[in-house]
Amino acid sequence: MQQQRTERPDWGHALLVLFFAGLTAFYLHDAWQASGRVRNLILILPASILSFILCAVVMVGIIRHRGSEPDAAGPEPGAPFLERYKPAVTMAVFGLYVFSLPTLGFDGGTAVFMAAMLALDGVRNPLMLIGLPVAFAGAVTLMFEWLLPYPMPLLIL
Amino acid sequence: MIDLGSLSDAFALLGSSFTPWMFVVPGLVIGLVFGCVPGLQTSMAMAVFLPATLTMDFLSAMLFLTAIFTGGQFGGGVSAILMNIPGTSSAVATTFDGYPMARQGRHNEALGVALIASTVGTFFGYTALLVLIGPLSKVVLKLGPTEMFVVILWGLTLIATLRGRYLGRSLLAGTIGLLIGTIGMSPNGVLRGTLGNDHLIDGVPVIPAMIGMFAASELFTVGRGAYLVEGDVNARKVSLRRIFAGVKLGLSTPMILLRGGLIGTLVGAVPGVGSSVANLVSYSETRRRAKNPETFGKGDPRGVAASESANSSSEGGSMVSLFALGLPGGAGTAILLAAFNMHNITGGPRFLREHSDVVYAVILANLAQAVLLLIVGLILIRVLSAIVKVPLRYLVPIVLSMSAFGAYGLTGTMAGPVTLLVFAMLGWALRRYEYSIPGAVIGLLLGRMAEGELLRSYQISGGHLDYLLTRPVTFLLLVILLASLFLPMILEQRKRSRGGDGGPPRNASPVTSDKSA
Repeated sequence: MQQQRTERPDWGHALLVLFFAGLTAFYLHDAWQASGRVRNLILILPASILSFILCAVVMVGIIRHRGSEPDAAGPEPGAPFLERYKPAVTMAVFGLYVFSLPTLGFDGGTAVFMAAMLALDGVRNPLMLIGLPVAFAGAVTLMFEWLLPYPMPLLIL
Repeated sequence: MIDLGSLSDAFALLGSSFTPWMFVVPGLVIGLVFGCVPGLQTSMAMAVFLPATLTMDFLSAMLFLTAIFTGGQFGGGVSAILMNIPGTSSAVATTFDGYPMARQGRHNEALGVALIASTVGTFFGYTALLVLIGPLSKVVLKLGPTEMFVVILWGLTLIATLRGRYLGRSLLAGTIGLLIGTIGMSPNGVLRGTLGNDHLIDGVPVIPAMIGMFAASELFTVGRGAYLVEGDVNARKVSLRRIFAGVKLGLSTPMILLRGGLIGTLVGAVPGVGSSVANLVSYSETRRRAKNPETFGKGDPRGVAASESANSSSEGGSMVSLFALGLPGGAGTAILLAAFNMHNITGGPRFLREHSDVVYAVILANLAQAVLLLIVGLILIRVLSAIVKVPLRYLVPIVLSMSAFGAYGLTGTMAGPVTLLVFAMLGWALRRYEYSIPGAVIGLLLGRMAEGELLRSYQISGGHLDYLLTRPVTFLLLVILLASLFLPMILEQRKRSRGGDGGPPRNASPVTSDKSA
């Protein structure tokens, strides 16, 4: 992909770098609070210093308008909403799926998640929209239930 | 070096009954299937089928379990190539070039390369074990934390090697991965960065995090196309002819396969380090030695060959400590040790001395297994690679939910799926701003190991650097590491200053220039 210079800093990227710097600062602080001895910080301290330096270097690059244009993951102007924000929508649905697992169980949650994803992708055939998710969720749940030595959250099976 | 009397007894033992051989093919198939399915591990397959070995004699049990081990090592490569999911940490480097090859419609070739590299690697590892089990066990006993730290450092240098377009971003991703890898209880017993969450005491679950960063984050964006492999129907064809072409392609890189085999055997013999580092070191060395390293990470079959040959040969290496010292080097060998116990056998020098015929029989059977892997693999690849024919609208939710199942299976708690989600989102952000995901994963994978070995080195040396002078193996490894890092650059510089062309041919085929790699 050809590098393009943006007119203004890429604030999304800057936010990510700030997140990394914040994460490093929090972790270093927490580790130092737990124990300030060399034995505890032998790797964390030098790695944190390196992280801060790299954050600063990348940030300078962003501020000096060196931020790259968002890659193919970025929304395409003019496309329908779902198409434009597909990664964000997929992430949100996947997030809902993960957090619903303790309630809906792996069997119920997986069937609902698959059906939702297929519906979002334009599948309207009832066999594929309902039959496939139910069959897939049932088969995989039973396989993992058989293989795993510990119980899984389940709704029906 | 080889006890010919015991070797002859081993042949007799293997030829006296067909029973042990009956378990080899089922073992390979089980390993392959478990290795392929995201979240199911080879060690999990070995553990699940361990009780089944109770009724078997010791040799049959070992053949069955090592067949699962061998099949699983290759199976991990299949999911790494087709889904960008390294089923185990030993297949991380396979994703670097295997998945790009699959996306370019060269999945058949990538699988062929992986299969032949795994076969050669397994064969090499067990041949080395056959010849060198005595000397290698003595070397393993002499390895201390400083040597292990240098080996891990070798793996970490790959962060800079896999830098992509931006070195700073790649190093930052690697450093953040390294820091996250050290979260939890330190080797010194201090709790850090857990935010009071008990699930983080043992650290961030590495494999769910890896699946999240590599696969799930990719699936968030890949869902835009119709198929994993874009192009017409022919591009998605599963062709035995093209798989064979991949096998041929792999065989045309003999030096890479042999180097991977050697690295895998040596690093695999180091307890606790093993195949997780071996594939990275092999990939790193192959890339560094290549005339056109810029093709790596973009679908270069040499990367697949380097990684798969190393992770498969590390199985033979890991047997050194199991047979000679009675120590497991990783999860797979820990299950084998459990099989030892189930049959009232204690590994170690005495076992090696008194039952060398059984040890040789296991090694010889594994050499035959390597050949059988080629046949079983060729048959099953056709079925497994059909995944490229599944439309993405079905594949994405299937793989995402399988990843969630697998993440739960790996941790036994909801911490697995939550880790998967968090790292999938992080991976997506890294991808979007062109940070190196392999760099972050390598940091995450090796951070804890590096800290442990560094701390032990510090404790033993008392913080005095001159301690290194008393460790010739460390010193030698450091010299080799520095030479492998800087020698190619120096040679390149000298070549340029002498007026040579210096640079690699722009359009050179990755394979044609391989022999010098």
